[in-house]
Amino acid sequence: MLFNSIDFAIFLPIVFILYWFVVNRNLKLQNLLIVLASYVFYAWWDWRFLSLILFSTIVDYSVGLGLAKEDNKSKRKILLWLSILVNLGFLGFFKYYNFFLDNFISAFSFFGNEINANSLNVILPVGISFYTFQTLSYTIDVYKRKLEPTRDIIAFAAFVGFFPQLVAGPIERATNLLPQFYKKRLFDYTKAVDGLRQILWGLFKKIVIADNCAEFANQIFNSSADLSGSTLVLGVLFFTFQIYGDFSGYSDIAIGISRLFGFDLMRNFAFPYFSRDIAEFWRRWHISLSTWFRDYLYIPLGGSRGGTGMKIRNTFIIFIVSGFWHGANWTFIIWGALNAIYFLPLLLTKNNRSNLDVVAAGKYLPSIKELSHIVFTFSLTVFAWIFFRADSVGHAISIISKILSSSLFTFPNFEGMARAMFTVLLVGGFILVEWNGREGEYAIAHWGLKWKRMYRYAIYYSIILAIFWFGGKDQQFIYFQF
Amino acid sequence: MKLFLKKLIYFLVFPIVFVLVMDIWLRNQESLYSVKYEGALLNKDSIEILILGNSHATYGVDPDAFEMYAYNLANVSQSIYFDKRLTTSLIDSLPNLKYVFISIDYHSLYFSSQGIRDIWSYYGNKIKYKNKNYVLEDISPFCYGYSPKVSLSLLKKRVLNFLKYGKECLSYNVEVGVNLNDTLKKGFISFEEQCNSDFFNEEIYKSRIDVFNKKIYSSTERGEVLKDLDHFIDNLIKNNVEPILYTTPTFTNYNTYLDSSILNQNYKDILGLLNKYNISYLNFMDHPIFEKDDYYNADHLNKKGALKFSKMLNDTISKIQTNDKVYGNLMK
Repeated sequence: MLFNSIDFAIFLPIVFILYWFVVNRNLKLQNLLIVLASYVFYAWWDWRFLSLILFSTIVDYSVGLGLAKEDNKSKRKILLWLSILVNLGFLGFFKYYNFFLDNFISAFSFFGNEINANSLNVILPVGISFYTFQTLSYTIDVYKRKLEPTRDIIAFAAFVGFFPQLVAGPIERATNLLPQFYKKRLFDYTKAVDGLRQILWGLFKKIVIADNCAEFANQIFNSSADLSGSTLVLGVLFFTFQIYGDFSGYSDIAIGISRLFGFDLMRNFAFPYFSRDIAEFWRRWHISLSTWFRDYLYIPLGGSRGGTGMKIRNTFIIFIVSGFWHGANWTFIIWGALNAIYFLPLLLTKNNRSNLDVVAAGKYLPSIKELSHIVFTFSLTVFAWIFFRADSVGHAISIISKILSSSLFTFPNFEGMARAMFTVLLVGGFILVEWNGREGEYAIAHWGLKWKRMYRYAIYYSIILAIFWFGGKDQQFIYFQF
Repeated sequence: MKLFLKKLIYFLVFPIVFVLVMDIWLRNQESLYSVKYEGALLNKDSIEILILGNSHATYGVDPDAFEMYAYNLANVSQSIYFDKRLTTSLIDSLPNLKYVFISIDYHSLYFSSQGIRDIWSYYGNKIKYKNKNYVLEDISPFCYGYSPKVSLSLLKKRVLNFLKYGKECLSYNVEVGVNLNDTLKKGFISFEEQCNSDFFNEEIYKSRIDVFNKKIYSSTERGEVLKDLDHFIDNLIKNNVEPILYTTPTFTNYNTYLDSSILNQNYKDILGLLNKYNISYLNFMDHPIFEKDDYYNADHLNKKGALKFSKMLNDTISKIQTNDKVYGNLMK
């Protein structure tokens, strides 16, 4: 079920009413309702893959109980590895089987050995990368004794399958989300209203910004061979805002819906395109994934504590694995490596934590220095997105070589340019709203809160109208494919 | 919770009332589909020729140019699936119907759906697409039928047209390029002169044809559409009505970008039907008589072109009675 579908618009109020009016006095029933609603939500896409979620839930729940009983170190390790192998085994099969097979065949062919092996037509279960990492966080935290294992399988199933964030995150840490299922939830008016506001803004980002940008980004990337360098730059910029609007929009909707049910999810995006350096960008982009890799991969590898060689190795590992998490394609690996290259100079010169605050806090405009840093960081990010969006490494290279040709200095031109200019205006307005609200959790978090209700409602109605009026053609959420 | 629900209801009152008003307005709106259909029923005893097809025929065949009483029942994007069901729903009410012109364009044999236009046929002519149930579309045309975006743009158009032309202009939605002070005659209304934008630009042809080609290459419906057409022709013959297949003219430069293998496949399929039923096919696609001035854009005739084309269709009716059943080329 998509958040921006009529089905979901019917599903959400039904679950909300049942949750707060029918089963509100019984915590177990509330959790059970969340589990059932989450399974319906997921089965709407493909019921067959529910079995994977159920299996992961049972394995990790059992491993958790096993870890609770076991004091023997090596046996605890075996249990941990069982969970890791099952979870990553599913992920590896569904997401990476064909990638490894194709590369294996290519490598053997390179040395003159022909291998006949058939790739499988594997469907990638939606959200597998997200809930796999979420359940892994539980097992690892229990193994490290940071978290008490749960004996409540319904609460655990609700934690694994929680529908607002099941298919595209934020990837919650068990230490944050699981305890929320143990406590009685009380309806909080302010939280619910804030949730609705965040949902509205998420829908705007997805339907108005991302879907409009997607149309032109797809068009330009799909016919990149026939277009000028300047048009390709425009295409990459469209993709830059498409992916931000799409993914951060989804996260906003997920967080907002969770608030309606009395849950607090972690923040996933914090105005990343206003970052002054790449380290800041990675503290603001897909925060739940970056911190997951930091906590469960980077720090166990030694983090930045070792010598220079170790720091370089660990940085490359974390960024390349992060790239590979996004998809089984060399383009994602290069995207990750490129970000590692951007990040390393900051780490090695110990400047990776120099921009921890909000840019130009309390001011209308950034200083010239801040602006130049933002523009530079943004340009690096945009360049890396070329690899992320391209179909293959060859495709990305051909786009870059065209961008670096003299056609960069011509006026962008492609079929639909006039309509694209309107989208450029929409994106321009969107950037201004985001800049204005950058000190909040999301751009319109504080908008009009002190205004008269009439004016505040007028703003919300305008956003709803804009969603219907300017909404682009329906596009699948990008992160569903990861 | 009470406060939340109270304020939520306050907030939702305006949108709910707006949606209800829009639903009422949309239900009472005329569309070219409904007006044409009602026009056909009003003239049911006179109609001898029925013109079917998509926008090429809607704006390209002028029934006034025919000696017999012709009526244009083509609609934008109308596929053979809808042509057939529209005719079937009327055929018993048309006692004097002699000929039905069925338009076969480059893409006609590859899709049965008209995309977002399916709903227009449902609201205008009550024709359902396959087994689709239209329960939600009946409940709210705004939310589930036309979609909020299309509904709002219809409202915007209507308001702007009213302000610009007053009550006298057409009360239903037509394509840009149609004179809104014009009147619908025998189901026909035309494009004025020529499109101002760069529709005669080769890049535009390519990308327009690309859209068709992508859909055609991925289509799995050809067999089904052909079977439906075959059944349609068979039914017409059984009702003593002569089906005539035809292809509307499209601009020569545009035609050079069409995929010849698709055209040849179309002609083979058409030839199969001609041989099976001994019916006629009139192919005007590359006809040299049509010049740039006859077109509104690369694949639509304007008023002048429509008149020219319709006169030719009228002339060929008498010729195909006695001579060759095929007019124009069958191979690219």
